[in-house]
Amino acid sequence: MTEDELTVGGRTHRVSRLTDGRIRVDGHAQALDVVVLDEATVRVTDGEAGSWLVSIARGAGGDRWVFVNGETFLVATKRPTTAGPSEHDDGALSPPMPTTVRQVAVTVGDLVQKGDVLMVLEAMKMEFAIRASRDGRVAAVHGRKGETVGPGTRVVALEATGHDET
Amino acid sequence: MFRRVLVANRGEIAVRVIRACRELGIASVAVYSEADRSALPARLADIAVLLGPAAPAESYLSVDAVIDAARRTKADAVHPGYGFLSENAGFAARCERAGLVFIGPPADVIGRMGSKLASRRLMAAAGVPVVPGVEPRDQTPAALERAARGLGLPLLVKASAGGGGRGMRVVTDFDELPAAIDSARREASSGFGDGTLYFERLLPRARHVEVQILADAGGHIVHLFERDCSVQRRHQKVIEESPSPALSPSTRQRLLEAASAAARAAGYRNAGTVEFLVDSGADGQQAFYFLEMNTRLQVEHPVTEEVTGLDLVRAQIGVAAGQPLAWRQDQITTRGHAIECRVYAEAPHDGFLPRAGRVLHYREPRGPGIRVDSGIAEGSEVPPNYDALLAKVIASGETRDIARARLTAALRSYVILGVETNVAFLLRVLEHASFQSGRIDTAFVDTNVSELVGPPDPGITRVAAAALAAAGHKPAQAGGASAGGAVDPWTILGPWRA
Repeated sequence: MTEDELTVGGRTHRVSRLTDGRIRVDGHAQALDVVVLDEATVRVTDGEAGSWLVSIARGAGGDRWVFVNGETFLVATKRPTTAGPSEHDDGALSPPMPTTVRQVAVTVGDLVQKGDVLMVLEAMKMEFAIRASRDGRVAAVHGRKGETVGPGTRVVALEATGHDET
Repeated sequence: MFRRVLVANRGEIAVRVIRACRELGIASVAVYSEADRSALPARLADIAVLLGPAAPAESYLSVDAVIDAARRTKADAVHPGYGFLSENAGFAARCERAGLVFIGPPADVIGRMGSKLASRRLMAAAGVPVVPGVEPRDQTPAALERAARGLGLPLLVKASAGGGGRGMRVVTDFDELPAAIDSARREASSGFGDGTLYFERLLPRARHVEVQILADAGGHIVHLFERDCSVQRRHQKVIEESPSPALSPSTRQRLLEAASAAARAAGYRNAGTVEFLVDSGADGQQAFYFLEMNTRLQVEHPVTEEVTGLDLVRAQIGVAAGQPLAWRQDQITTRGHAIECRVYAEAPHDGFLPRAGRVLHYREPRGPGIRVDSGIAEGSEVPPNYDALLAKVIASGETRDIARARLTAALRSYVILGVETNVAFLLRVLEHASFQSGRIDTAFVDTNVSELVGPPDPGITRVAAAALAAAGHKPAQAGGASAGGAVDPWTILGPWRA
């Protein structure tokens, strides 16, 4: 029996299907009745609690989109997918989609505090700010005013400053 | 009547106008950008013309490209939809000069009402109450700051040429004022080519109520009652309904009369909307103030169509073709209640930032009292270049509660996979006690944001995980309910809960 690690909305669940047909989620076996109706649709019945039609579509990189009762989940089998300006391990910040740089508020070497506006971007006719995710020093700025930056571009990189020992 | 109408827009509104043309026996011309090659309008219209690259300025906002497309396809009229060129007086004038009928008001009316400042002054002169504010003649930063300080807090920085929430900033602390002035001016200058700013008192507990107007070339003006659009995020409407659950009968009557007076003062023709803020004083008395007039079809026009039974796009085309309005004011009535939800490609948990992507799986809800005006289908690309509105779901019923229940059920079976949407957020609004009771104002979303955009119900998460595991481990079964595609599970059983 194989066990999958599924990350849904930032939480990871261990999910497997037991030989008796029950579904085990995080160690708790549930008598969920699952009927596959077509390639994209499954009916899940959870005893007296209810019955749901679940739609599933395979997205990029093997992630799956799952729709249940008005809620949509992006389910990853490895790492959680991020949404919005995402932070890389080194403190770099990226826009979620192609955007136009409207304003660059910092230069390399600036000390910034968590929440400070670093850059103002525009996409889909809306302006939004890239803010510092933590205190630090600006290590790099990629993107000039008027330039288009793609998703995943590390527009601002932050580095940690020395810790205050007191 | 027209022979061929060019639809100068994209998405759900282009589909809506193409459909109206087809009903009237008019050929339709869709225009599209490179990002919308495979989008619905280009597929549904009788003729489709490529305008240019994805960037709006080189496609949907290019007056030359649109006029050229109309000439080449021998269209005799242009429907601008909303947004893009719909409130561009220069475009309306260019259409007239090119021998094309612009389906909307005359260019001079668009110009007059397009300036928030000019329309504010016109309405005040016509006796329509306006929001208390200041209109600094001196537009230097120092003079603007002085004027704002004289008005008091909280206040709104507004761009005279702004719209759709753009070029507008809320200021609750004078420390924020310089940055707000700077960013509102930048957004208005880049978006509208005019950075003129003014200030209005912010009425944080006000409702947004607007009145639909129709006027013909003979000067006959009627209203089609009100829409309440108080559920807003980032100053953009997300849920609209008619009638308003908040107006007293006497306020409603005065509001409708003021809207008709506003349309007369503007010399209005075709479909338009007069927007008001309705504020309740401590004594329970309702006061209303003119906000602006939108000289075009509104996104939320279906709400009015559902309660009045009238087709606004059809009426727009008829009036533009020179026909008189078919109804006197006393022949227009409403029946029941209608509520609309705007389905956006966006992430509510991430500051409602827009999202792009490809629609991998798509299924629209159906049922009594359910209408879906959509611009997407399975396989559609949602490009990052445009407004993120995907579709509108409109529910109607004999009472507000019935319409709300229908809308909730419809959203629970509206499957859009592949791009993040605000559907779960919309459901939480519809099920919120304040919305249910009808006691909300324009600050409702901001005030309750953590509740409205929080993580999903863990029970649902487990069901999702389980279903996914099951789907992954077990191939689709032959002989199931969907064999041969004859039976659609969504139409025979909906989700139930004990």
